[in-house]
Amino acid sequence: MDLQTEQSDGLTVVSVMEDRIDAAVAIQFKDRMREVTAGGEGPVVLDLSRVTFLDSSGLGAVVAAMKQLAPDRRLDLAGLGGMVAKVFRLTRMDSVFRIHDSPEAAIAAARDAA
Amino acid sequence: MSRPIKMLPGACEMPRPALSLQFVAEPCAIRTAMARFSNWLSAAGAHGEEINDAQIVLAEALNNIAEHAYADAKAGPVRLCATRRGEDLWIELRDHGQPIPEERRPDRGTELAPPDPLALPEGGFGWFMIRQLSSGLSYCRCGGQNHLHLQLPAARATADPGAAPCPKSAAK
Repeated sequence: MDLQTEQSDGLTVVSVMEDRIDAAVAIQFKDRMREVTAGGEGPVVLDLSRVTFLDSSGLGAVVAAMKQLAPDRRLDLAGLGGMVAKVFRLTRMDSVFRIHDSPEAAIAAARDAA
Repeated sequence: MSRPIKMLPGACEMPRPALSLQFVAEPCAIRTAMARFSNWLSAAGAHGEEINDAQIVLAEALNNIAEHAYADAKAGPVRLCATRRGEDLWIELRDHGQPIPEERRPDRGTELAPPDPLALPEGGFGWFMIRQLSSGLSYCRCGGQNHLHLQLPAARATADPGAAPCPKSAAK
């Protein structure tokens, strides 16, 4: 599971470099999220713009990643495509995350808030 | 919350499926089968929203088989048949795993509540999503197998899923 991280304006942007977060990789995703965010501070933005398929296992893994970071660090989401956005909307899990159009929008929002 | 779902009669056969695959219910084989299903559906003339919905429904149904029906045993076989008939997409799944427990049966009329988002659930979304996106569903335990039939409207209104037309009566 290829995750790439970048620091910007106090945010850690984690980009998922794969097109699927499904049952085959859900546990790997959760473990990799823990690794790439370990020791850092400040909010984390998960960039899902390359992800075209997310099932309930993947959704559960994103929620687990959010819980791993809590209570000190927040997990926001960015770049949800049509199918991914639909899964969040159907399950109403879009109500528990801050969702940005893109990582750039998340960085701009953090800059405005600073 | 979810629109009414029509329970199909317990038919156990899909005559002349356009797609027929058999594979083992484990995550990587499911991924491969999903890819073949999507390619078939796309070649059959389906578009974005229909393919997305069908992929969600099929993935959740297959994950249920892998995680529950074969939970206590070695991953076993699944047969997937699909066809597009009239305005509907029909999917049939068969497996040799454990039956779905009575209280979890998706074909009962009772509403399956979604998990509460505020409880930050990490699972329990599968049947809820299947029922949200399907227009028809039936389940039967036939000859030691689970038979699950799913029906999705092929041409759905993208703006408002609640307004999707109810499919015509369940032809055998």
